[in-house]
Amino acid sequence: MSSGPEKDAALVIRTIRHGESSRIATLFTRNHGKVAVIAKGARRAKSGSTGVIEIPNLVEAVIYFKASRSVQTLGQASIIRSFPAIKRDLVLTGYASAVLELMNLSFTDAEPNPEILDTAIETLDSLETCSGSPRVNLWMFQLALFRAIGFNLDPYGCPVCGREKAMVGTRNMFWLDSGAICCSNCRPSNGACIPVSGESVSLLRNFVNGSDRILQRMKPSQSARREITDLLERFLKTHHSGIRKMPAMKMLESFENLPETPK
Amino acid sequence: MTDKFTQSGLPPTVVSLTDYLAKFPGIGRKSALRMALHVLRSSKDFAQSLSDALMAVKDRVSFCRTCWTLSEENPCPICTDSNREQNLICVVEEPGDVIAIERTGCWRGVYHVLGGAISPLDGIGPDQLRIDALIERTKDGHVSEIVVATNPTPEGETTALYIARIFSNSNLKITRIARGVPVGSDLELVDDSTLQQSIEGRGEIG
Ligand SMILES: [Zn+2]
Ligand SMILES: [Zn+2]
Repeated sequence: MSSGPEKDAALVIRTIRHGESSRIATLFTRNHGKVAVIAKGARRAKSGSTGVIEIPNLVEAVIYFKASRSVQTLGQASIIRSFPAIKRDLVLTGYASAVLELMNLSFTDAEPNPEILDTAIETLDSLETCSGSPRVNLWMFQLALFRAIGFNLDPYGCPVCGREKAMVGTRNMFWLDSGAICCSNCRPSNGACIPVSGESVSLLRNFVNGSDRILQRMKPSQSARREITDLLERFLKTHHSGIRKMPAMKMLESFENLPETPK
Repeated sequence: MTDKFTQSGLPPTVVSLTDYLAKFPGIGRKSALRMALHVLRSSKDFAQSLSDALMAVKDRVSFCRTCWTLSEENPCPICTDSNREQNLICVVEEPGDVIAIERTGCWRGVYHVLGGAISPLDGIGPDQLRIDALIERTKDGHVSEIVVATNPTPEGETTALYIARIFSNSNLKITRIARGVPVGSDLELVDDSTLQQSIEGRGEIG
């Protein structure tokens, strides 16, 4: 890692309090991937970085790198995007947190991935402007993340018998290890599978095709929502040994299940 | 660290005291050593009083079971003060926030200390906070307004949104403390997000 100050665009994906008034933040930077930085005095009302190093802001940050340190020093930072509409809404905050959690858990430090950073920013933008269903936006982000870290979902032919049937209306199994859909007859004896409905299979196919427009017009049933949400989470956990708990993802559900505000 | 100090010729008891003092927020090892040496130079009475005072806070101070602030009595003097407006509840994250608001002398209602703020990324949800106790306090109908005074951080804001949401079907008025430009600051030196929030939350003059 180079040393000296460097300017980088970054998404603030995590912050923790540190000492009296500072904050240690995890930034997902464009050029250096995940970097932990210390923002000294960031919790004081009159510090220049108050409100800047805050999730889920997109910032421009000057970072003083020193290879020997695990936490780098943050210099000046300014906001590029602050996503005010997300911050004013509990459920959108829940979605944004789930995106940040996935970014934080899926990558190790100093593993740059500008494409996934852009996708995360696009996802936050979609949440911010309420374009499309937030759930579908999150699913699409998860799919992009799987591709970025090299796990592929293949919801077409059964990997055992090779049949590529319509599958709609039939009972199918999602094979967690291979990321494929297989017929219930071909279900492998070893390896975990979860049942998926025909509706979920066609949703997954649209994902993999990248037909955003079709996806955004689809109105998944409650059970398909549940199925796909579970399936994507279990698929990630199966392939990424470092991920066990996803508290933000779980809390999102409880936020969504709160009674609607009548107004 | 400890080895270094022992090697530097300090008696182990001084090192041990320094270790404890260095655990205080904002106290580094140097300050901790200065404090330990101060204790050494002081009279035995001073050391005794200090140790008594330490034990007394642990023995006598506990939480008020109504508002969950720190108190030697239960309910606390604020909850039993008949001059206070018991129908107005100010919700804060920590007992220290009650002390900060009390210092201003401008709040005439009572408090409710949540014991933290909702943080999805840390797995701190409503269940880990005293939100159920807050709901319970509103059930007898004597509360008219809840002022959410959680920190203006993402966690504090999420908590405020959550509280607004769970009381959305009630007749309670839910308000949020104003956010804005710090008193005495120059506008051009105020950060963008604070300035933005103070413009959005502007009020009429006079
Ligand atoms: Zn088959
Ligand atoms: Zn009390």
